[in-house]
Amino acid sequence: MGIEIDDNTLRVTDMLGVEDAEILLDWLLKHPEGNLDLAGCTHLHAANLQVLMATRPRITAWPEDARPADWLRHALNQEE
Amino acid sequence: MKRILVIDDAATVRLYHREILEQAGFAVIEAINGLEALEKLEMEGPFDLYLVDINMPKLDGYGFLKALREKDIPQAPAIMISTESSPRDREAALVAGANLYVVKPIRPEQLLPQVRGLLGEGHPS
Amino acid sequence: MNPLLDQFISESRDAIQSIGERLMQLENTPDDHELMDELFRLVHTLKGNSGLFDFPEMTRVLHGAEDLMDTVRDGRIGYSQSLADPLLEAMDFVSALLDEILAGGDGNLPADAERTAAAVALTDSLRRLITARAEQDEPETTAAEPLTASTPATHARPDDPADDVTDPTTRIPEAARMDAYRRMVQGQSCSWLSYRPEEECFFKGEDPFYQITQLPDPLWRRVSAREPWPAPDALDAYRCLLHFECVIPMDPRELTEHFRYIPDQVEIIPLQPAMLAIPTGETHDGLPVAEYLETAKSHLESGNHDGLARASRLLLELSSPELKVASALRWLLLVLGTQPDDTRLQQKLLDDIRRGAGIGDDTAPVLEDTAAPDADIISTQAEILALEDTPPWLPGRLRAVAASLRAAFTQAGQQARLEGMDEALRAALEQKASSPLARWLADHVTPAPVGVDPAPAAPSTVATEPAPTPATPGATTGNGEARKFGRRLEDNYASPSAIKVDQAKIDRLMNLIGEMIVAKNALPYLAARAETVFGVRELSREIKGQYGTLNRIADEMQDAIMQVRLLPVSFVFQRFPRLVRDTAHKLGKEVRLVLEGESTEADKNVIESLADPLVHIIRNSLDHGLETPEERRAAGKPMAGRLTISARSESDRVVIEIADDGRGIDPAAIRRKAYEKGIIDEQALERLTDQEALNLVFAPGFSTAAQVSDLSGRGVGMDVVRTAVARVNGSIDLKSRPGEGTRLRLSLPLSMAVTNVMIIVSAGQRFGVSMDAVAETVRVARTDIQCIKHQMTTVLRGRVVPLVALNDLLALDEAQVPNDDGEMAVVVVRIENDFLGIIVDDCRETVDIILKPLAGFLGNLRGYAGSALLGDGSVLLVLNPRELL
Repeated sequence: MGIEIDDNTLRVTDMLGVEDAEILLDWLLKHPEGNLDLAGCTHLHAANLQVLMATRPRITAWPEDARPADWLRHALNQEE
Repeated sequence: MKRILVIDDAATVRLYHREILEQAGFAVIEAINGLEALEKLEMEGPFDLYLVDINMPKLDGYGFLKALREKDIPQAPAIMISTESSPRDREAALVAGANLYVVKPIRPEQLLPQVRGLLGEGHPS
Repeated sequence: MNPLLDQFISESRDAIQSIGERLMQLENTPDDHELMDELFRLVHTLKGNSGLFDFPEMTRVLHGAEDLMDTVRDGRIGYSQSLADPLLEAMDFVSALLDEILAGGDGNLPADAERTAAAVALTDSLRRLITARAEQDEPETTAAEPLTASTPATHARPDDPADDVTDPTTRIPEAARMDAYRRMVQGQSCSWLSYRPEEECFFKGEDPFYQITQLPDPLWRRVSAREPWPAPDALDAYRCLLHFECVIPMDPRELTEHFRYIPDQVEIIPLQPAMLAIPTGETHDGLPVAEYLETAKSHLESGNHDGLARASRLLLELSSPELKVASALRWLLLVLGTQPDDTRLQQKLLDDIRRGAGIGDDTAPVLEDTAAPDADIISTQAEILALEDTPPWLPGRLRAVAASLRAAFTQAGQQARLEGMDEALRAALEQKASSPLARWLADHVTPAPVGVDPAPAAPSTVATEPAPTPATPGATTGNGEARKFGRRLEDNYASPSAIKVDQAKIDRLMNLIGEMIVAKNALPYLAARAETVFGVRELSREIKGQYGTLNRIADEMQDAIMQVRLLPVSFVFQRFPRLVRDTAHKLGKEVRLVLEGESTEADKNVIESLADPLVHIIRNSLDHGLETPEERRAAGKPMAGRLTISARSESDRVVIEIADDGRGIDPAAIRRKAYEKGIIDEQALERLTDQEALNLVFAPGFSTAAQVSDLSGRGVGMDVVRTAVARVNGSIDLKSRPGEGTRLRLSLPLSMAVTNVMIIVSAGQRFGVSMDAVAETVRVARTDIQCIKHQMTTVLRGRVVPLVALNDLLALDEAQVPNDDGEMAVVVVRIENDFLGIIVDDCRETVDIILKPLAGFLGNLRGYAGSALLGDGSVLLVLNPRELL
């Protein structure tokens, strides 16, 4: 479990598993203006990636690990 | 001018090929199925190249090619045009006598080089 | 709109129509394989055609439909009504798209999220049928397949929209392609990867994102969704929609190994430097390209790399960087810097520039055309020669292979390499085996691995060899007579036996012949004037003679144009199978529809005016006429009701009958109802015969939900139907026997363009009455007119006929004028089955007229069918006796 919720911020501290996608989606639906801190994220399951792509939340910190960070940036910043 | 027989039951596809090929300077003759293609072959053939659709009423592309290859006439290359990219379909086309297997949809920039390549300077042997 | 799109739309409409019909037929004969094949082919063709355009939703839905039909055709799932419904729905969707495309006019279909969603939903429903049935039938195959496959699929999954058809490399930005190019010329391998995890992969414990992040850093990447993301609150996080695309500095074999468990979800293309050197950008004009090309060509031929680079840099500086020509120049400089000896690729780039500038390519062989395909052609011929079968057509196949090889080598300017092929072919033909030719090919050509290397290591002398003989086919020969798109259609199409003509053109012809008839009718007036006003009897006779000739020609012409306007009633009937099927389905009834006389013809307007009344009548029959299967069984009838719609011609009329074997109409119930609604009084209740009672269903305001005229909840009465039929001078009657069924009979004129009217005179004015309505004209002595309860009547052939004075009907304050013998002129008209005498001052000749409806606020005037222009230039008002009363 790598989710810490602090008021209007959801912080990912480790990796997000497949079952975390529902929690993430649920939280983002309730906090459309919420901040997402991914700095500690080492990996996220593809289901979470889908959630991020479909909801486009405000990301205040990208993962420190370059590999997921690069992929995430590409997935979320490119315009379709 | 090289003459190409375009065999397809879809009028839209025939028109599409006609426009590409005529603009490139080829003469196009059309047939709406394998049977009509054989008739055209009898009356106006042989041609320099055949563009053959697979799925057609009365006589399909395989049937036409086999009949064509059984004829004692100058044999020209044939391109089988299909919507299936499976190896099995491809092999069936080559067995029947196609010389190239192309998967739809076909873009002019893709078709023309192949048509030119198969027309080359070569005359039907 | 361009001819190709025109052709597409018209062919598609025909196909959709046929598909609908075949589906109906298949419901009756679900095992008809021929029918099934035909249906499949129709859908298949439609899909193929749509792929020529950029209509992704259409292609997507048709693809789904095609796959479904394919499984049905293969017998993997059985045909049933539950299959027909979504297929019909899919056709409706495609049909609506066609309307949209047609409305747009430019062949574009702007993106529309709603439409896309609808297409996705439709396709899903089609696919669910395939998987649901297939799993039900053979549970293990679908699950086992992905694991047993050993090589990666080289094509996209079938449910993907058509966006994969273009060369994926062009979607990679130039910078990434150049990066990959540099690495590759330094010996590194690069691959293009497209990874589409299956939708339910999360439930199999897969994590596609993990798979993809384990790869080396890509040179380019894209993550997208295979369909637009739904709104966040509608998102199913566990239905995987992801699509990864990237260029990876990795050997394709290693990449294949990486995805070995899910080979069907990835597409891997081994990249070659030449594949990437594709100039992209906007097309240009106004650049001094021709001069540059001249210089470049000579530098290239003399091997002056520096000169070529200098000239290229100069032009690059002149052009704006986003132009395609700039892109080509950048590539050229890159190639010169990294692989100066690859003149073939350099030549290709120069050709790109030339083509972009629209400069005729009559100086150099089109090398890019020869470079790629000859490997493809040659490797395919090798593949054919490797086949081990010996079919009867083997000799023909071998000779075609030889012809293909000859063409390929010749086109690449490598005729010399053909040495020995003819001998090998001869040997192969003698031995009836491919092997001699196969050996020759193997000895002479090192075939490139299939699909991997489109540009084999051909000698670099190719580019500097003199061009082949001028007769090179292709771009060169066509130049002088470059044709406009589709212009030569007419000369080359096999002479068609039918042509499609725009309806407006036929309407115009019809109007013109109408005017001509009117103009022709002026001649008798002229003849009369010649005699009476000018006193030249001779001339008068001659004019009459000419009139006779003209009259005959005009009549024939009118007839000929009328023929053109004739349509078979099937034009309307063809909608009925679907209507009956859907309506019966909704009502839970079983109906067998029988159509007869579909080829009976009538004027287009008549046919079209039939459509709505018939739909009403059919709905009515299904809703109220036919019983439920249970009721029918209880009544000792077959469970399925029978609805017969037949058409036939009777002299100059078309008769259409709609008969059902349902419960029929009970006259007593009608009487009661009509009385309750105040349509008839107590007296009439007693007096009406059964048939007269039945006719009450046509009375305005009769509409009863319980009995006949609710029309499936629409609240439309049969009076509306009768009015619609009467509008085209038709009549309708109804016969019914309780318990046995109901039969409606419509009688309509074959044509309504030209109307034959009788001219009558009343109060000094002329009026017309349609001859269709006139039963007879009689003279009635004033003494023979009796007044019964203020109603004038007379007896004609033993029958009492009510009389009315036209002046009264028209509220003209004048008495009708009798002739010298004291007789009144009476026009007897038939309204439905009743006769009525209209007293007028005089009856004159009959004339053919073109009836024009009264326009504007005059259109609200009841009592007039319209107006017409007479030969003498005056206007004739034509009465509508039915509405006068």
